[in-house]
Amino acid sequence: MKKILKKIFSFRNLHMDEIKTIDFIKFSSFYWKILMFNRQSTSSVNNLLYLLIVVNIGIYGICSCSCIFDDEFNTNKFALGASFCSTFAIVNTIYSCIYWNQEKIENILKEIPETHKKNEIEIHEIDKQLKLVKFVINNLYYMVFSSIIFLFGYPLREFIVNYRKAYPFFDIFSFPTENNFIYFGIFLWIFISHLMHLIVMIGSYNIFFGLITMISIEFQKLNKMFNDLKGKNAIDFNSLLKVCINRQNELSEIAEKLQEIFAPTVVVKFILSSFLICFTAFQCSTTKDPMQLILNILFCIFSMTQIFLLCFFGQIFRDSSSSVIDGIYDCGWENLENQKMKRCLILVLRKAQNVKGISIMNIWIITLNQFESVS
Amino acid sequence: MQVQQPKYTGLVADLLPNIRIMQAIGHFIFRYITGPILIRKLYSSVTLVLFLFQFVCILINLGANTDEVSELTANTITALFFTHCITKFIYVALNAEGVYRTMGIWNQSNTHPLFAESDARYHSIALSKMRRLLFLVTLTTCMIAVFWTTLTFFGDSTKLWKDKVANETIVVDIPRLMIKSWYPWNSMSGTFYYISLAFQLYYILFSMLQANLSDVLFCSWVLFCCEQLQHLKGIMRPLMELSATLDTYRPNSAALFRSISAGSKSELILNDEMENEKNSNYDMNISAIYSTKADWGAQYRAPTTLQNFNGMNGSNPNGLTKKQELMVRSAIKYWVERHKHVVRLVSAIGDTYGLALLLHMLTSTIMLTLLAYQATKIDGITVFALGVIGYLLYALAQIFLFCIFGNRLIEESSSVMEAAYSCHWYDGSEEAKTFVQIVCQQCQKAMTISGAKFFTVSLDLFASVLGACVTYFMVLVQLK
Repeated sequence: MKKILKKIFSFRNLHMDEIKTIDFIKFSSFYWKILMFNRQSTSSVNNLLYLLIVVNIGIYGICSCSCIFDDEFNTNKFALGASFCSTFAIVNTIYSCIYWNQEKIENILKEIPETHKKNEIEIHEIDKQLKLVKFVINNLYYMVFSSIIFLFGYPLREFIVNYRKAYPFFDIFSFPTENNFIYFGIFLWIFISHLMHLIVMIGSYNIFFGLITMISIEFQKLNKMFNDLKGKNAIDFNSLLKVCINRQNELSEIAEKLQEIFAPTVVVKFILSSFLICFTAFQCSTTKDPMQLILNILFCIFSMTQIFLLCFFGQIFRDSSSSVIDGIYDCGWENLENQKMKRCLILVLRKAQNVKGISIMNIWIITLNQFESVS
Repeated sequence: MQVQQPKYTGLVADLLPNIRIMQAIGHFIFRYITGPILIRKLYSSVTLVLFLFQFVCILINLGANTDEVSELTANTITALFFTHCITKFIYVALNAEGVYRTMGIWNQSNTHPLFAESDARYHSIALSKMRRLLFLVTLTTCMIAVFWTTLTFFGDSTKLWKDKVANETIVVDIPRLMIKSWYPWNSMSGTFYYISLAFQLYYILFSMLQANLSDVLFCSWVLFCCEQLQHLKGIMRPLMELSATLDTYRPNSAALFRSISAGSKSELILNDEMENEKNSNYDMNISAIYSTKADWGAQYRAPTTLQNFNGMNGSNPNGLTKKQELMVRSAIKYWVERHKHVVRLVSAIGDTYGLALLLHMLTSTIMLTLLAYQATKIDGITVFALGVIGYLLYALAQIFLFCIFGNRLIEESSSVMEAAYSCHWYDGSEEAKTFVQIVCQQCQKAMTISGAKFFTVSLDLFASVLGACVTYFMVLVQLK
């Protein structure tokens, strides 16, 4: 146990020479292929697979809301059904964003170097951030996987022990249970949809958070580049400053592109997660059935985790973007003799103050402040 | 054996009384001492064990009395109150390295002969304010402990107990102690009662002191940063005048440059300033002086001359010689280095203490909600009412203490830009003007202390907490 903990939390690995950037966004090669970043396969198969996954999840979501049309309207059932629907909608949105913007993502990946070498920035800092992303995604994976096992284990146990046919999630679906064949078929279908949900969710979140972390590292590198201008003579200062300014512009464009790609995801996630939290929290306080209570609590925790992760990574992104300002202030301008150079720096500083971050429709930048106001 | 008293510098020297008191009441701070560390470690560990024992007793009492709602609420408030103390104690213990690092940031600071006097003045102001703060907070805490003890001896020492058999609430006697707590011994009367009383007095005094003194440490750091920013703002004007051009009024301009080359202090400049401001017709003076060219001397250059960056005449457009230019540049360098030093200190403070503030706010929010509920049950000047009001004021005062210092830091750091603009920058050399530009740009973003990035510590926070408390109270009164 101690060894495993040490492995997860060992942030100092000074024997490393380089880290591959692709490690940030790849959870495993299996998930990578499922998310169709495998460009070798034919595009029609890709499209078909995508359609299958989206439609499947869509149908599942609609079925879960079918209890509205029941004769007796039960708020509990509706709440659970709506919760499922929202979760699947969130996952669908992020998956679609990634799918429709594969080319843009690949272009972004081209502008980021493939490996981080030892001398560019402290390699253990990058290692730390990589471990953080992996830690988050792994935990999310285990959490969702274990809840799926728990939720499917319960009806299976009921069936084996009591020979009682129960669907998981406590009859929010109005499917018939008499026919064995139909029962097993539908059970299998629900199980497969949940697995697909898990795969798509983990893969997409990995890409999203991994991209954010990669770009934050680039901003930190830029900060270091500005810092390194200290003590250089005038000619070197000039040329290096031009390099830095070019890089600054490139990174701003990348940040804009990222914002464009993931804008719908962020909006949908925020709104639906807030709705989910309110609804499930209310249900937690009014429901009496213990299993439903557990389910509601799980959903509540899940949506809070989603928003928290979004705000956390948004904060990292924003912080790295604003660290460039400190880097420019630290570049040793007070030792320069040429006034024109100093005036250039004012413009650079002003540009750096347009802090980039993930924003909701360009109104609010997502930081931990938003999380505090949501909760 | 003679033990050399080590000479402490920087922040450690300023905060030595605070550190000593913290070490005396058992915090896990083991640096800056001469003598055996083992005894101190033992003392701190014993203190920790005693505090945890009392805290666990309070929690056991809470668990044993959950049937009756008012008892439950009161016990929860007490438990949350002492959660602060335990949290701060354990936080400082775990984060001692951060504390040492923050203290060590100001061990070496840069100096400049022109600004040493201003530096010393603001440093002494900071020192006196820190001492005053420490004294006030310690005194208030001791008074609160005395007040609490006194209050215990008024009123009935009873509690409400829900009799499950008869399904009614009856009144049961409990020992007359400050905190309702379970003990493994019978503390109703006799020797054990006095032991419990003494133990509780020790516990209340020391744990409140612990929590408050770590907050005072934080506030002292912030105070120090504010005074440093005041110093920086104060030397902006002399810096500008150091590089002033000659085509504006300078009644003793010859004296100005004579004093620079003699390497003397800046009082001459400051005295000039004061003299001119005392004159009521400021504008008249300018026009009067403009008319006489006698002051300008041989280094006069027409205002319409284009600025020449090649420096062909060996001097810059302002007519300053090389030596004066170097002096100006060294002053600017001092200013910028000092500003960066302050920024580093502020970020270190935020990293060290931010999480503690976050935990404090979380606990306080829950406690204030429950206190609002308790406040709706007040029906006269009773012991209960005084207790509730006391808890409320204390909790709000704790939050107010660090909010006000955080707010001051934000105000000071954003007013640096105004100070840069309001000095006579148009008189200064090109170098000075560019310096003012960069400073204005950089200081638009105020320096803030954030509670682990979740919120910024300012009076807005205090206002929102107070507003939320009042809202809960109003809603609960309506529901009653």
